[in-house]
Amino acid sequence: MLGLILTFCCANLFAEADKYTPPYKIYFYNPESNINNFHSLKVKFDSYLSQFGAFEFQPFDKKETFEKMLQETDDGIFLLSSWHYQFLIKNNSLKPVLVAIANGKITQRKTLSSTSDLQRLEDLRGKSITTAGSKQYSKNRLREIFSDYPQELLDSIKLVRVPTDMDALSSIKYGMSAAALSSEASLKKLNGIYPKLYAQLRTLGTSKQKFLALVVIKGHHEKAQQLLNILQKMSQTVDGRNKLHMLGLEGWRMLTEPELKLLNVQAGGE
Amino acid sequence: MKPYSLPTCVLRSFLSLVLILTSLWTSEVIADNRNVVIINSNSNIPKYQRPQQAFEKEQSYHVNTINLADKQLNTKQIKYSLQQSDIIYAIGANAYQLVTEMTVDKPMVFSTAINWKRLPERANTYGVSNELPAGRQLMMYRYLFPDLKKIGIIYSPQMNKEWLEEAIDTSKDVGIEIISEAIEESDELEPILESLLGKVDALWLISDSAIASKNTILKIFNTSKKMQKPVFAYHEVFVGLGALLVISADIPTISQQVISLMDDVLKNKTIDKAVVFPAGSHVILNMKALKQSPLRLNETALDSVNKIVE
Repeated sequence: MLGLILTFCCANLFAEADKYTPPYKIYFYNPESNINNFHSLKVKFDSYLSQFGAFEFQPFDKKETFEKMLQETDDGIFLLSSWHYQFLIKNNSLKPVLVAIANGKITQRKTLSSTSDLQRLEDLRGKSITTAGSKQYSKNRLREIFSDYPQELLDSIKLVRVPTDMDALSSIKYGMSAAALSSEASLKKLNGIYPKLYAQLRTLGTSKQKFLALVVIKGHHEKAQQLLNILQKMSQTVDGRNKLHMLGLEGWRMLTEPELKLLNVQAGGE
Repeated sequence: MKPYSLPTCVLRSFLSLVLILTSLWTSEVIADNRNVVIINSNSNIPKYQRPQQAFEKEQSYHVNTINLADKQLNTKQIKYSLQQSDIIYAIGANAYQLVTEMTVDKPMVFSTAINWKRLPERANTYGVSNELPAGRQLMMYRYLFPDLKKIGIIYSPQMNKEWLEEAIDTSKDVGIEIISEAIEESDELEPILESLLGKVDALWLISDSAIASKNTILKIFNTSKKMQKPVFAYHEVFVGLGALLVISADIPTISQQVISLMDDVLKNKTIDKAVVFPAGSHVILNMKALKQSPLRLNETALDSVNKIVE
């Protein structure tokens, strides 16, 4: 009888302790997109993750706050852009584990599109271009695409940050910008939605292939492994897929050794 | 503290002068020193407060603000402040009109003025309109609801004839047919609403004085609900009434466009278009309304939605 009472008390104590365990988190920041649906993302992901235990989703809209969190925190995994990873790896010990899948691919290219009357980068001097990426990210990608052009020409171009690639691309049609920096996948989507506008666009330059979003970890933690498993299985259910779609993704898979090597070569090249 | 010897002093002064002159040479710094007066129609209400906050966050000018809701301000004070500026930022139609009436000879950039075309013309005036291009909204309808074929619009020709023509033009390119019904007064609504809803997959509620009264709006939403036709609207307030989708202009993007226009004006650059459309959109999806709607959502388009309401 005493044994039974003790077992009951212990079970209750552990249950209470679990209730007050600080949640293990996915920290998220993406400079490649400006979709500011943080509230919806947090609510939806928290609800999805809570069915597997004390897990939470923590999105960030400020790069500096995210980077500070990445440096100071060990109780979570980090969902970030591969472009951002290239800079973060220089000062942090990070291990990339998963890579995102979108449109059946794990990489993407960025494209600068304009109307057909603008034929060269010089034609954009002093004009505005729209982009869903942060200013730092967009400048960096433009510098990469147009590495043969003088810096002062690139500096003369004004960047207007819009929420989505679709905003960026459609703004060319309505004269709000002279060109748009978007992903190739978004251009393809535009062709499906508005083929006439797609046909009016001209590609001024395209970047190299870069990995889509990554999930990176710091050190080894049992909870991190649990979260990685949850993320990999998200695409297997309708509920999970809907959450992934909010990030513009289809799923996650493990990075292979050759992909890891390539990622690190790209990181060294920046 | 040991005093500087004369040559060091002279050298430091010279270097300081060079630094000042160099910095003045940089156009960015010149822009920073310019005075912007924000004249806000009423910064106590969120509709006008948010553009001001977004502007103040992004800009690097010297800013003074005038809130027209401040009863202690008189016309003389307002005019004096405006005359001290290098450029004026008018938020809302009332602010625009007041600046025009005061005949202050300063360039002005405006935003958040509903139907800006009805405002009096003014020289040296630039702006970002409050309304997204019809084509941009149609693109989103097509993207989010691929099965949408026909959409209904009720409008007054006096206010939205040109807008409708542009919308019809783009709708063909995105594979959506617009069926429209013109009305002059809200009491004409009832007989045509049910007939129109019977012909379309969804109703596109637009900003139009003929359908702006509370009773008219309620009638539209109640009838649409009864006939299971989703409503696409232009302001978040309609989500509460059951709108399935709301697409409006993104305020932080408007602020960047205002700053870009100001920069061009202050640098005497050629400006191709004096008034531009907002470049960014803010999309709200109402999941509760979606569950009651026969329209199928393209779930892969969820990354273009800013807010999901349950």
